[in-house]
Amino acid sequence: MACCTTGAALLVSRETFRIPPIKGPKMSVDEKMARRIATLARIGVSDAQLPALAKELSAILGFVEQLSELDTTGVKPLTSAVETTMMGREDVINDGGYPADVLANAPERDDDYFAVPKVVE
Amino acid sequence: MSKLTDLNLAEARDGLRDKQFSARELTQAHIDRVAAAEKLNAYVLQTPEKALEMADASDAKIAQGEARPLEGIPLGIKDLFCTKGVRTTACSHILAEFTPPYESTVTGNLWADGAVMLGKLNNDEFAMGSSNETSRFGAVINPWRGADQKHLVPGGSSGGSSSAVAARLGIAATATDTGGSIRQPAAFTGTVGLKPTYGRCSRWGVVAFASSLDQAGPITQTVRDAAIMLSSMASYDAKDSTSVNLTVPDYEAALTGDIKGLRVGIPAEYRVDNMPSEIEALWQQGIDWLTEAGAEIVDISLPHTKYALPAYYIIAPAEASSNLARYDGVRYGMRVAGKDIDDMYASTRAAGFGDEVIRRIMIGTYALSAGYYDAYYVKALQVRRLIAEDFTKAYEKCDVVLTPTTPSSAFAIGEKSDDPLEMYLNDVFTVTGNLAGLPGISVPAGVDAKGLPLGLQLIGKTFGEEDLLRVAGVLETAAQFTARADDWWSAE
Repeated sequence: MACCTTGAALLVSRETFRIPPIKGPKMSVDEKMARRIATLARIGVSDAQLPALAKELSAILGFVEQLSELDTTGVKPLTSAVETTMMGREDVINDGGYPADVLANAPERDDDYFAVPKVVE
Repeated sequence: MSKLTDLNLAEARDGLRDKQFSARELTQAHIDRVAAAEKLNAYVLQTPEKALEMADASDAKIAQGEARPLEGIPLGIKDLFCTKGVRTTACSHILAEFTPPYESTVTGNLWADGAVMLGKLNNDEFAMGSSNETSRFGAVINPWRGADQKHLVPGGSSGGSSSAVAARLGIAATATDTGGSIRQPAAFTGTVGLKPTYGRCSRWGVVAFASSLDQAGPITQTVRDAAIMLSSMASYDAKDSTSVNLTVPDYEAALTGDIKGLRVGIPAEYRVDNMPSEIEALWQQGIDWLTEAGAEIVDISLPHTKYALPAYYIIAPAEASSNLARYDGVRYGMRVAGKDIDDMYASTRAAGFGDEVIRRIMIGTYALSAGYYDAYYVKALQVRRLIAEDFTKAYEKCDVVLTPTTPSSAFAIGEKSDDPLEMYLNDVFTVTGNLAGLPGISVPAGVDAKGLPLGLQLIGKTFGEEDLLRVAGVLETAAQFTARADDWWSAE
């Protein structure tokens, strides 16, 4: 395989493992993209936090970039390490009926419901 | 008789059955030792009253001649396992004072076998880390230290578990391993850490990090103790659809000491250019020990090894970003008020998650987002298959694989916490086992020039825990690792 020769050493120093500096100049994620990811992830991020976050994310993505040098044409993605067949079961209710337990940790509740800020006007 | 807190699990079990001491005495001795060890910060919650209540129930069982496999054995439980009526936080602010109304299957199995809970153990927030420095409760300290007496990390994410077992703050502990979080902390503390095959232990009631990689296992003082613990922790569980319906063997019975003719693979790709010479020497020592015991050493190749960490740092964050979407301030845990519901989600998550968790959620969100999914996530899953196939091919030539557990011994608190990528390198030898779903064990095998413990790792075949434990037992016997950390932490 072209990617790597048998017997090649696994390299643990950051240089040889091709680990970019955590706040290096190469930026695959800019501040605008960092803002977009934060919005998708529903994590509040201030404008002041964006530059550092963009650099960290860029460095991590720079590290994983080396996967692209492997030719994976025709390789089936592996989603589960141990092959199993999903077990079926009868379509019946076999648990539940204890709203007090379910709601016991709710930050806010109203009767037997979780309470949230008003969603529909 | 030695102190009750010096006993390993097998010794304590036998002593209880022979009525040399009671479960209450054994538990009280550990409660006192835990209470005096707050400097280590291994426990985030102590449950002495519950422990004594459970110990008394065990004494009653023993008196009736009905002792179960773990009767009266005091354990520490990683704070990732839900424990009914006992606060469970995954060491994250976002879970606040969450008190589960249910018990995880693994801990339920332990209590059904008679074990006693001493309390909840510290870990990296949501098990994301290799040093136990990302916990909301602060860093855990390794009982081991070098001549300069600097505080060292106990490894992570199961740092509370490894520190507690090394300091004898519990006879054994539960732990979880997503990229090395059982084996690396065990190596850093001179303890035994066993990650079973994916699907061997139920994940039900274990706070999820990366569901296709997470697996529960024990950290113990000895290989025999790990075998005893796994026999209780493992089960088929209809509540975890990835749990595998296979009979749980008596793992202790596998420890025959006989490995004649067993083939041990040595992967060329784990030879590191600038690996510390002590680790290189220890690896060779391990090869020699197994050869002397009658094993056959086989050179093998795992050519995609160097792509394991990059693939892991897509797959694990992707799964984490999905799993951690549940923390939204609605059903449990922390809530920070916002001007509308979206603002409430964002404010709650910003306040509740630590920096490393936020980094991983964001990397995962990016890798799963439209336009990047194929390039990152699908690509990483394809590489994952290549890594798993490396092992399949290697296991045509060998039965277990021997490697170092970590590329170094324990490092100082703060030494790597500013650089997430440097931290990720800790898992370079262990992460392949998670990606391929294989069982792995770290056995303490020696010390480095600083006098700090080093571990050797064995990786087994799928559901090959019996072979794995048998070889680990031989390594343990040959290594005669009896060193203990000097007790500098106990308050008088």
